[in-house]
Amino acid sequence: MKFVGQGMSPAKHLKDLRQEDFDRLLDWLAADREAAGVIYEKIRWRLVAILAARGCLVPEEIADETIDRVARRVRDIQDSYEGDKAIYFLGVMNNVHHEYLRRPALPHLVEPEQNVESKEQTHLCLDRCLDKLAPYSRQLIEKYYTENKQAKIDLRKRIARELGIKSTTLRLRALRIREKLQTCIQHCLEVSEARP
Amino acid sequence: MENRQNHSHQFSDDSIRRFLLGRLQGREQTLFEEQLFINGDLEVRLRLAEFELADDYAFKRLTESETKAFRERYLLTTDRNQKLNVSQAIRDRFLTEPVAEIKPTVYQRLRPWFDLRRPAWRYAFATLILVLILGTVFLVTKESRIVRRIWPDRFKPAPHASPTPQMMNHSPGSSSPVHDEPSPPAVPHESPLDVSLTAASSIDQAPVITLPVGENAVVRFQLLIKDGAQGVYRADLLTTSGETLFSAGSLKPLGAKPASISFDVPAKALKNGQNQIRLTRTDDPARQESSQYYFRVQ
Repeated sequence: MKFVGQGMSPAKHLKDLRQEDFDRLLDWLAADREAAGVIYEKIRWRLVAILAARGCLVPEEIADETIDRVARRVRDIQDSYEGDKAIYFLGVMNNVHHEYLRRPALPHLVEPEQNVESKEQTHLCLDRCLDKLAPYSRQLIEKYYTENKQAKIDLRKRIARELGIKSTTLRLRALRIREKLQTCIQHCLEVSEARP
Repeated sequence: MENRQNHSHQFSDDSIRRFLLGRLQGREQTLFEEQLFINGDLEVRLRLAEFELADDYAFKRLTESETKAFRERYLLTTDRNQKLNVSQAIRDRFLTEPVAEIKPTVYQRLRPWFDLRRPAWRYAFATLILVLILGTVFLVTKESRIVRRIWPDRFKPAPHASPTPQMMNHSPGSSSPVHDEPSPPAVPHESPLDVSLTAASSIDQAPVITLPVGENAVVRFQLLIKDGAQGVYRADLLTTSGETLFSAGSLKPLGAKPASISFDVPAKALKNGQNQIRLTRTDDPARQESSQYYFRVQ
């Protein structure tokens, strides 16, 4: 986990987040450490989504800097703060984002294209993860992605009719399976990278 | 809190997609951000929408502007890039037909034609300017002909008691060039009846004229005067009883051998029977002698 935003101003670099501050933050979010971890990830994901929507080129860095600042303030606010704790992050994020906007603009670094080897590995992991799906889910996802354009619309209507569900429900089911696939493939890729 | 949570239902799937593409504006963006932090349902929808957007990009279902926004506002995190990689793998795995490029819209197809930077437009404008210049030159040099062609020959009004145009505008000794332009063909009923009279004519020897028919009929009298006569004359058309039927002034002689004075009289001004024209010089009080010209109308 990165505790210091690398793109921050020099003054910010001096303020390394201490482990005790981070632990205090998790305790403040939830008494149960695992639940606190889930809340922490959700907050971070939301911060990143908002910053990206605002056009911030380094949303992950700004989100991490926001969390760092909140962690440092928890000692002062934990006894007096009332209300939704997640909202507090939003307020701090606005300040950090304003500071970011005042900095000289950095060139946008485009994520490099996936290389052939990495692509092949992703395809392998996809096949493995598809095999792990329940037959119903696999059948649904295969049908869901088979056609494109108008044929896709017609096909999805037909699948929904066959399953006796609405098109919106079909879409949600398919996307949830897609989410599972993503998690599975990420895990698969991490494992394959870890292998010698 | 309750009120805030109720707002979450305002966000449609389209709003969520616009948020992901950075297309929400002002208050809508602020409200969305607040709701995202307090409403778990909106967060779940947003997470699923991320997958769907990545899929649509991989399957080339986005428009040109959406594709641009996707690259600039969506592909900003490692997590999202990994989602796109999986979307592309799913596309390669399941799609039965190759993904075609997005067909450009009608606007996109036509836009290049209206790009004024194209050389074709430059040539077109240059040609247009050249045509305009040539047209202007043509109009300036040929205007009189064109005007005449455009405007039809009007009905010529009947000549009134005035000297003929030639008399009015050209002195006998004038060296100005003769206007050679052919006159348009006269309408039959406008042709004047030419009557030539001499001062020597007595009442008994007066010529007999038949008046032309028509509302605008004209009789053109040509009064012969003695050679070399000059000056300005006045002609009075009288009946034998002395009633003045018509008068014309500022008349000048034309020609030399013999000189004559010409003027037009509306036919309807004349009366049947004996008539006379009294011609009097008006420019020289010392030479105000009059000449009489007789004719009979039947």
